[in-house]
Amino acid sequence: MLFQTPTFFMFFLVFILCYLATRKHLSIQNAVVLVASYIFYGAWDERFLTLIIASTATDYLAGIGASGTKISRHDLIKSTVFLIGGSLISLSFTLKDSAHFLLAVVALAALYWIVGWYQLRLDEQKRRKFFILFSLVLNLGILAVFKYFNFFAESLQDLAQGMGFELNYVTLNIVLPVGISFYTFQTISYSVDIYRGQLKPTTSMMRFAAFVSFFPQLVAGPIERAAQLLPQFYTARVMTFEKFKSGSALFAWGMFKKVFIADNIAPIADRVFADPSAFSSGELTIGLLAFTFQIYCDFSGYSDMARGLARILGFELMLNFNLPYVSRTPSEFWQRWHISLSSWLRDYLYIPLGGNRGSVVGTYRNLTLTMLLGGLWHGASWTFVLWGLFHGIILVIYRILNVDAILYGFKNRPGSHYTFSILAACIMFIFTLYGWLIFRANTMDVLVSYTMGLFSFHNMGDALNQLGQLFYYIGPLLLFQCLQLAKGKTEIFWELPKVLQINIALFVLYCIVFLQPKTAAAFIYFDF
Amino acid sequence: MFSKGIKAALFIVYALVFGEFFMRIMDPQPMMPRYVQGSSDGIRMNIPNSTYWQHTPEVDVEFRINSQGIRSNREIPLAKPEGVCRIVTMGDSFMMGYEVSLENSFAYLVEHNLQAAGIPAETVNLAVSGFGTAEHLITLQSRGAPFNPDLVIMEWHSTDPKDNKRSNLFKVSDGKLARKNQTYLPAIKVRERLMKIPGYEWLIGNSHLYSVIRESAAVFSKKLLLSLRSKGDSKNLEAEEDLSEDTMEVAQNDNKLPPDFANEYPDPLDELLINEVDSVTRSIGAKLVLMDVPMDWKKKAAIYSAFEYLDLDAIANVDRVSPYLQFKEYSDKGQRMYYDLGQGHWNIKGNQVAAKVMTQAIIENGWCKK
Repeated sequence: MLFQTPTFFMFFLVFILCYLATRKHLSIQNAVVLVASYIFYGAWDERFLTLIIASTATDYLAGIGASGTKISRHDLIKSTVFLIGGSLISLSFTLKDSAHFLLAVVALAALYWIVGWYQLRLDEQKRRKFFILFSLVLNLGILAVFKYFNFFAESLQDLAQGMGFELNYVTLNIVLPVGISFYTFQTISYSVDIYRGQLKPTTSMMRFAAFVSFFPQLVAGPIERAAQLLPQFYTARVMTFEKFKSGSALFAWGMFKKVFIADNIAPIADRVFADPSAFSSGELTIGLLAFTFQIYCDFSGYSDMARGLARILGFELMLNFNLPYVSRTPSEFWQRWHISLSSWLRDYLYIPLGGNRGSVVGTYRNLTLTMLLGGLWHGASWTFVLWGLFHGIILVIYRILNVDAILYGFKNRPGSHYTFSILAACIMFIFTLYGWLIFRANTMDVLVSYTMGLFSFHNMGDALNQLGQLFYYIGPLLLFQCLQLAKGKTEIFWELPKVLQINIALFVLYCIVFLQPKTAAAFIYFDF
Repeated sequence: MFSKGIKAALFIVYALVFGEFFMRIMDPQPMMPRYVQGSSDGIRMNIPNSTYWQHTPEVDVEFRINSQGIRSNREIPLAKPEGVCRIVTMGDSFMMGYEVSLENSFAYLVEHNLQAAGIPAETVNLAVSGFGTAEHLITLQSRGAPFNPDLVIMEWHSTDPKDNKRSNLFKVSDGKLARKNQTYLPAIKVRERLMKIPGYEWLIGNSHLYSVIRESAAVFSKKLLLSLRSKGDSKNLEAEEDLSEDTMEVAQNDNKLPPDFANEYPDPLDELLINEVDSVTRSIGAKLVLMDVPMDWKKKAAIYSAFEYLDLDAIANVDRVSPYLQFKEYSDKGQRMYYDLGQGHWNIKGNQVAAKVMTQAIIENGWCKK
């Protein structure tokens, strides 16, 4: 169910009526959110609800255990009933074909009881460690099977073939469950925060399940931290007209970025990436620029829509994009792009690896490794790994050259500061562009062919028409971002003069209604 | 200073004016007003004595409708002139000559080609935009027969199967054609009421915002009507609108109907309607020729014959003419046969090629009595 489709608007209308009707009963309202979220996800493929339910039940228990508390029989029953009951409902539509799923669910439930029995023998410290491992193994196991199994199996086979061996193995016919990387990271962070003593475990399965599956951000983030989102399920949400206005504006702006910009410029990129060797350097440059803005508008558009929807309901989600293409350095880029993921990687991967606390070489290693795994998070493909490595390397190079400190040194000299900032942003944008080329190339062959075509610099003026077409779509965005940059924040709409507000709102609405492609396209990050 | 009501009214007016400028700058629309009204035979007809323009980025065309509701520069007496081969043409906007001047329209060109070949001929173009075979049948019975034609040219277009289903005028009952409803006048009442509003005529001929709203509403209501009337089998019919690039490519290579919706066709209703038109044509002493309107999907220069939608064995008795091969030949050479920026009708070349093919067929087969 895509946010920009009439089906979703109908769904949301029905949902919000139920949500409003239950506003005086927090538990029931949380139940409404949970059921709606499961319906929202189930509309894509109800079988994979089982995975969300499994992840929820597992981390509900793991959270309690990671705090050092003994898991009670009552909690075990709650988790088991939630796991088996929820799975039965989600699999009931395809029971005949889902016997293996059901078997796995029963096995997991049995595992809960074994774990419940075993943890009684552990002291508090060991119990905490045991349960954080339990959470990591289960969640990363789900990810490994459903997202990476075929990738690693095929890569191993290729490697063996290269060394003269023949490996016979079975590849699994697995469909990638939408949003799997987002909700597993969210549940992992919940357990880890408890383990670190930064969060207390919840004792309400309903609240926790609603937090994990909260539909505005379930399938493509932002990856919320439990400390930020979970408490919002503890108290009654305040819905005001101001929040409705602000949430609607944010949603509309996100939808504008998605349906007017991303979906309309996608064909420019698709065309050249399909066969880079057939195009001139000029066309390849425009194609790459098109993808650069497509992916930004697609993903940040989704995030804005998610945040807008949540705000209408009285929730507040974190900012996920903050004008990333004006970044002057790689570290700034990752503080502005997909903030919820990059901060997750920082807190749960880079810092545990040692961060910058050890030797200089160790810091570089940690940076590269974090970015490499961040690349792999995006998908099971070597081009994603290479993309992560590429960003890791430029992070290290910028760190060696100490560019952040140099730029900071200009802060007190406004003239030089602006000149060098613009220059640095241009250089960083070129790196970002090339990064997106690695990211978008489906295969290494496409990457090589595109790179060679791009840097042969032949017929650079070939694509002037397409440049015009591209700017037709991204021009309004660039103008608005200049305003955002000048004001130093993203949500500036309500601070603008009334006349400007009305005209921007009308422009955005007319673009959404009349200038979107006929067929609704899925969000790029649904695949990750 | 102003009350809330006045403020709201002012805002609506401003939003509409903004929208008009927005559409003109961001996405200028082809101005293709439809001047149709209800007729006593239960279907639409061109508004008699109306004059209007079609403006697109490619063409500016004047439409003059005579008092008989025919796009023609003269009145056509019912009595057939002595020694003249009278040809009645029936079709939709393609046959009516949308986006081309009268002198470049198919029916006009056929008439003049035949005259140039020494065959006294006269065409009576009864086409109305949006018509399908069901309406052609009624048109022939009530409007075409009185002209005593020698030859009837009926267009067959890829939109006809959907139009035939949507109109709900006929149904298949026990393998036979049966009349289901007496009238099909979509949005005519609304249109007639709107036409009475001062300034509305100006709006439909000049407002880009109105044009895009009207087209969107028409597409939506057509889809809705189709899904209501095809009882669950509309999915594949609608799939035509959403052909994927892959499907396009397969179809382009095979020169066949894309497999996505090939299963939906042929629909017996269409063949029965064509045979019924043939039967009526024979009963008035004329001959029917079915004219293929080759399609140009998604402006990709992939040309397909609309005959792919038909079970040709089921209409074996009906003579058919198709300019498909000629269209494809020109198209393969990079020659456009359709307008790109308007509504995709045949351009002048398309009309000329189709008329030439038809003229040759008429001469070679001796379908026009001298």
